[in-house]
Amino acid sequence: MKVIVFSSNTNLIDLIKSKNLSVVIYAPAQMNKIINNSSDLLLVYVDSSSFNDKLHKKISFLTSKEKVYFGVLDPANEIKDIAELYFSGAVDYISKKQLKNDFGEKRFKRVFQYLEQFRIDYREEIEIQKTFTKDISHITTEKGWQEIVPGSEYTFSIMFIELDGKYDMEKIFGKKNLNVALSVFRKYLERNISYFGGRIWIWFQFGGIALFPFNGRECESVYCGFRIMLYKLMHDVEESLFPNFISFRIALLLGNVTYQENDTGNVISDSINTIFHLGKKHAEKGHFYVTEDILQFAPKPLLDFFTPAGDFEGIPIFRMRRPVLPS
Amino acid sequence: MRISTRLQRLLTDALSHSMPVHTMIRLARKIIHNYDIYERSGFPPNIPIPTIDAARQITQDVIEEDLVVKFVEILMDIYENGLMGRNISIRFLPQIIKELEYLGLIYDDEYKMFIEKSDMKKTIGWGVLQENSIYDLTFMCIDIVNNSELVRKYPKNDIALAYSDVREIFKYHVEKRNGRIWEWEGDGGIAAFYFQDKNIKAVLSGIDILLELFLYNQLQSVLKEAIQIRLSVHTGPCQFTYNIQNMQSDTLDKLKELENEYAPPNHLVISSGVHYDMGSKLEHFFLSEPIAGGNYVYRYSLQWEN
Repeated sequence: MKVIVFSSNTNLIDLIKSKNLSVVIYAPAQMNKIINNSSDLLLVYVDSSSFNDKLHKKISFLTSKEKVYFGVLDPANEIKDIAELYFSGAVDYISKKQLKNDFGEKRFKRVFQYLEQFRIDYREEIEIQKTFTKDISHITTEKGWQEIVPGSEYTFSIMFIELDGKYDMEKIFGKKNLNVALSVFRKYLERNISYFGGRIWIWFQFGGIALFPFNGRECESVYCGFRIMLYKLMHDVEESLFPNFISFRIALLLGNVTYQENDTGNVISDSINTIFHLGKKHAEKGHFYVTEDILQFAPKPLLDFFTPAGDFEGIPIFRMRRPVLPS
Repeated sequence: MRISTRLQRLLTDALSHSMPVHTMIRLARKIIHNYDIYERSGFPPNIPIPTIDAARQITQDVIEEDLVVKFVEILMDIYENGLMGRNISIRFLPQIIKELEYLGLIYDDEYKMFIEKSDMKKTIGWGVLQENSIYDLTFMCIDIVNNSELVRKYPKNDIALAYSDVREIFKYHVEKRNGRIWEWEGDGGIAAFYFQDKNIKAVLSGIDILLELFLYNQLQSVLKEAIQIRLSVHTGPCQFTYNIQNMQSDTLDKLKELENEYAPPNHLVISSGVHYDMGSKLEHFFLSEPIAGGNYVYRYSLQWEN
């Protein structure tokens, strides 16, 4: 759980900094942006002296947010009704005297213990995180597809790809034209995927799932996705039959799947569910997302091109910076 | 081009079995200016020349002028489209085509001409360009930035390896789109493109080279710094000769000027004549830059979102 403080009080900021705590301090004006963009569990301390008459409004804002727990720092001992803070959802209160002596790691631990004991929502969040951050045991394959037998479980790089804007396409281009254009799009993906040892495993009209066997050492699939994005504009110009520049989403994670060759439409797998959710619901149009665990197996020079993009179901994810046309 | 006696015989038979003498002469005049069969054969002009003699003479002259491929292309054209509204069936045409295939040529339906087979040795004229003839060609120039500095800074073997890799990237992407490398001098070179869509093909090759070099710098290069290049593309007339060093051409001069003066490192710069052909998607890749004389050049470089 991250601990952050919102304050503009320089004395207070100096005091907190002098304690060398793992706490991040932000200006009060940044509160909405920071909280809205975070998907982490947060313990937020609000400095009452920096908010004055806006304190209650900010407390209401924090109370409305999931995964956010807050306390109040009171360096001037100006809050008269401390119990009212707890009635509003606060989980801690630090007076002027406590700021000097008690505000620190021990205190945070006490807050976490309290949350674990008395807050059901907190316990549920922790459970979710444990489920998704547990290490999966990798079932690796040295010889790739040669070793893979239908009906057995293996670790794969699982790649989701789907064209954006599919709902209007049939209307815009006509069914026949669309099918021809889609087959060219599929060929572009297949060519790149097979070059890196992957195979399209499930295909629906506008996209699909590709699998890349995992050898336990490296994930060429990240490079594959990177290339697909890098050469996307060239594909638009040279190959694509769509009259406009196309847009598609890619999501990539490392997961275990029982490989089957037939009836792939009825695959039951946590990893496949997760990649579908990540690709269909979380991924923004035109972007390539990878999970943190797969990134550690990616070619190191490519890491500079991926930036943190929050969490998805407790899994830290990263988004590739894309090549762009000049504006 | 070395023409076998079999091909020579086939051509003679094709002419003599498929058309009268005056049609043969008409075809010969399509590729040999003011062709006069009487002058060449020694037959008096007042005596009708026998069909077989005319066919032999024309075949021999076409071979001597190194115009066999062009002549066969004409035969294929009239076989498909007729001549002056009349259909002409050309005998032995499949056998003639097969003989040219033995020589490493293949008929390209799109371009309506014979070109070198992709698996055969590639020549700078595609097996098509004639010495001293003038052609409209598109050229691409590549130059490695800070060559002298790199050579001083890195061990000889590393530089040799890196430069050879850059050359391979250049060669692969040029030849992938049927271009030809005309010149390579250690730290740069020139490629030529002919046939349909030559401007687009040259530009796509240039963009491909910049993308591939980016990946090479990230993942493969032995040097500690990224190799940077400058690329330019220009189109125009050029008198073709197999001796590239001696080739004089305003088009080539302009190409080098574009690269030297208007191409920053890691940029592809193209002239307005090339940009004109880019089409609705590809034109978005370029930013225009005004230059002297009210003209423009157009630049592309790989850019990333923040």
